[in-house]
Amino acid sequence: MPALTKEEIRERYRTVNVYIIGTRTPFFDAVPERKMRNIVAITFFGDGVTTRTMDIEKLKEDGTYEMLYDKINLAAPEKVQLPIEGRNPENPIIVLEGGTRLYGGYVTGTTVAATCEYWDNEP
Amino acid sequence: MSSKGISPIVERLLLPNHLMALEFREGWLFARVLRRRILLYKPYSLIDSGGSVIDIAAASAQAEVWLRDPRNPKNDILYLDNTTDAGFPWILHGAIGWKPHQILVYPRIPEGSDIPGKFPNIDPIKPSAGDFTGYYSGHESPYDEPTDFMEYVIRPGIHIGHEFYNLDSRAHNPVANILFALYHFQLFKPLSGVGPHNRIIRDIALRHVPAAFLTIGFTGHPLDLGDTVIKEWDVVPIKLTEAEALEVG
Repeated sequence: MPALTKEEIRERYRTVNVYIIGTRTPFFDAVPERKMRNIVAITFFGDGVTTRTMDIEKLKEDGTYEMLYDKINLAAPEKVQLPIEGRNPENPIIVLEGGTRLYGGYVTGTTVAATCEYWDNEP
Repeated sequence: MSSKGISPIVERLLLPNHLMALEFREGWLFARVLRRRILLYKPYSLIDSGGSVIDIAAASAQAEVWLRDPRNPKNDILYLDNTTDAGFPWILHGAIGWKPHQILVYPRIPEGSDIPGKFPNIDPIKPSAGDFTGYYSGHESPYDEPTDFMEYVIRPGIHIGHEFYNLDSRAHNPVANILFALYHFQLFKPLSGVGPHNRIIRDIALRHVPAAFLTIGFTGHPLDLGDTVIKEWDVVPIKLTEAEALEVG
């Protein structure tokens, strides 16, 4: 079968918003084994009150965590987007294999709104 | 896709004066296309028998339905009600493209029967469970370019059913591009002794002349022609070996 078309990628494009609480909050359930999940962008939104240091970790199938992005400085009135410049669905910043999971976290402070954009290689 | 033997259906449709061999359960018929009319229903939004749009919930199945005319849901779009039209036998030949591609489509030819495309040695396919076999989707037969991944050849008097499964995490209404050709054709009649059509029949069977070989239903399990159609088409299907051995003088 041919590679996915641009339209098929758009049909699979998903945006999920979570409120990150504490050191580890999942963006979604573990990726089903038959899929690869392509993370196109992650955006953290400062709450206008507290500056925080964010991180992004991957929960691997062996139960251990792998740090992917650490010490992301999120000033209170700002937002931080990964990738920093633009986004391209065909060039994901993270690829999660089946069985893994993505977490966002911070060390101190209140909740942080975060948005993750992704698509899966299988429906 | 053509590198894997899957082609856009428009490359498979026949033109007037093209030859074809039609395989039924009883045997083969040989014919020449006299008229061809392209039939298109695009976009076609899947509906139920009451004419309501079917929105398949996330990770859910849709029981078997016909592709009904939304303007009059009693009508099955892929149905030929008479064996002949304007004095000629006719069949439908084409394919359907679907979107979104997260919808798995399980055809039943005819309605209520087995699903084509099953590996011979596996258990029956369960569309209700979203089995990952026996289906096709908008990935195999894209909405904008239906392919012969699932090629439909429909004789008069049979309904085609379809079941669906939505793999996605959100509800979807399947939308189709129904692209068919309607052929009116002349049947060649084999005769014992030297008959006027014996030579062309034999040449098609022996592949001496280009001709499309079309199976009514699907490979390995062709549909029967039926007594009514045999009578009204006034022709008896024969075996390929009989066609090859016809006396041509």
